[in-house]
Amino acid sequence: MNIDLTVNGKSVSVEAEPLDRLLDILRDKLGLTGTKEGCGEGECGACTVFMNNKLVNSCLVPAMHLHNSNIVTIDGMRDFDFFKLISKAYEENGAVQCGFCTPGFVMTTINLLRNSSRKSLGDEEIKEAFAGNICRCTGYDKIIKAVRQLLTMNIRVPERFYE
Amino acid sequence: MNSMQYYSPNTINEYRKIYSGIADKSILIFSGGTDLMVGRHELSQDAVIIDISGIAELKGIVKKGDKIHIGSCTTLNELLCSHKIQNDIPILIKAIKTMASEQIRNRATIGGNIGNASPAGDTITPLVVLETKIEIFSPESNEVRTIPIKTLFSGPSATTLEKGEIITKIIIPLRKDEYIFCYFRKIGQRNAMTITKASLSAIAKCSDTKIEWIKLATGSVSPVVKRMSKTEEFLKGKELTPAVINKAKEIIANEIFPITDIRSTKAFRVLITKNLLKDCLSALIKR
Repeated sequence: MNIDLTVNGKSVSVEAEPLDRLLDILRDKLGLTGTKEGCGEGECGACTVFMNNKLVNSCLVPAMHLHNSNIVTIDGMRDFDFFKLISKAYEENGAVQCGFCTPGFVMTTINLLRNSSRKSLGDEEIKEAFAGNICRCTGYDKIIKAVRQLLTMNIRVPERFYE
Repeated sequence: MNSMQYYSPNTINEYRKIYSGIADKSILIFSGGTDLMVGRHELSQDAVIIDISGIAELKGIVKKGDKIHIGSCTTLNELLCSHKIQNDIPILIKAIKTMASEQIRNRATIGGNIGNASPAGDTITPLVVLETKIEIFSPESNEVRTIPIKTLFSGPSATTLEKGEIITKIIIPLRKDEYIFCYFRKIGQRNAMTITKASLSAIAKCSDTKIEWIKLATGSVSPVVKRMSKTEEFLKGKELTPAVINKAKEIIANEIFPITDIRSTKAFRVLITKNLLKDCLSALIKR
């Protein structure tokens, strides 16, 4: 089947089978390798992307659901001002070690930051927001520290991307 | 992966037409896909996929009289963010909060969680105590039928749905003024992204110190999610003394049929079911 979709603001057309994964389309067909495959079962969150402005696991999204969808990956976030601030906070707090989970954590961080009512979140609520992201290096403390710092910075993140 | 035949109807009527053209084939009903995508290599290549997630009639949350109607393709996050559900069915919010992650809740549907018929399905125990009805559409008869949720399940991952039948609505009776206590707790390997080893849902009404009535359902400790009717009957009209709670724990232990599997052991499941009941009744006393 032929699918027309928008990825990081660009219209693309790909040929895929109905149950092909968005993750493979991004990495193998479009060369967007910032999005990682960890578990392939929706448990680890390394493949997290935005689909129609909602956070999803790209390993669980079938090609047949992609027609006319708007996908934003970690590669599409690099040029935004908020991305640089997130990157800096992660670096300063030692929130990146091997880095494999980082693209997923950053996408979940962006989702958390774009909702202004979430600015007063406690550590437990931050942890709950990251229920779908696994990190095997940092022990999470440093990531939570980075996110807590970002939440106090009054960063402007748009509700919708590339629309 | 070979090319699989695939249809995506936009209406229930379109679904019926598609079904009647391929009724002789093996059919895979697909919605959010958060379970099916994980096992996609094990799916039969001869199966025809019918993706019902684009059917608008199967989405949304509507209050109709003293009932809430939920479309089967409504996602878990849509339910979590719904003021109607937050106000009127708080037990369902408690359960969904413990389920999966933001990423999965944005895709997974309530109809999928029910239709999957897992004894560990976390939306199922609250829906069972709420005496929810399930509306089912049959493409063969072109009619809908409505059944109590507890009669939907015939075993682990098995339902009483006939071939081609799809769950269309989840109909929850509202009894906000009646029940003033609700409880949901599950025990898993960890707090996040965990599959239930044992769970308990309860709604209850008390007058002064006595339980007027209580409805209980356990998850993951029997072949299907099950009402604990003997325990309910015993607790009716009782004052919650330590002796009554201890007796109730013994009764519930005899109402469940847990097994040892990859997630837990039979003995542990019995123990935690008893403890969950104690936790629930303790919360009821403190209320």
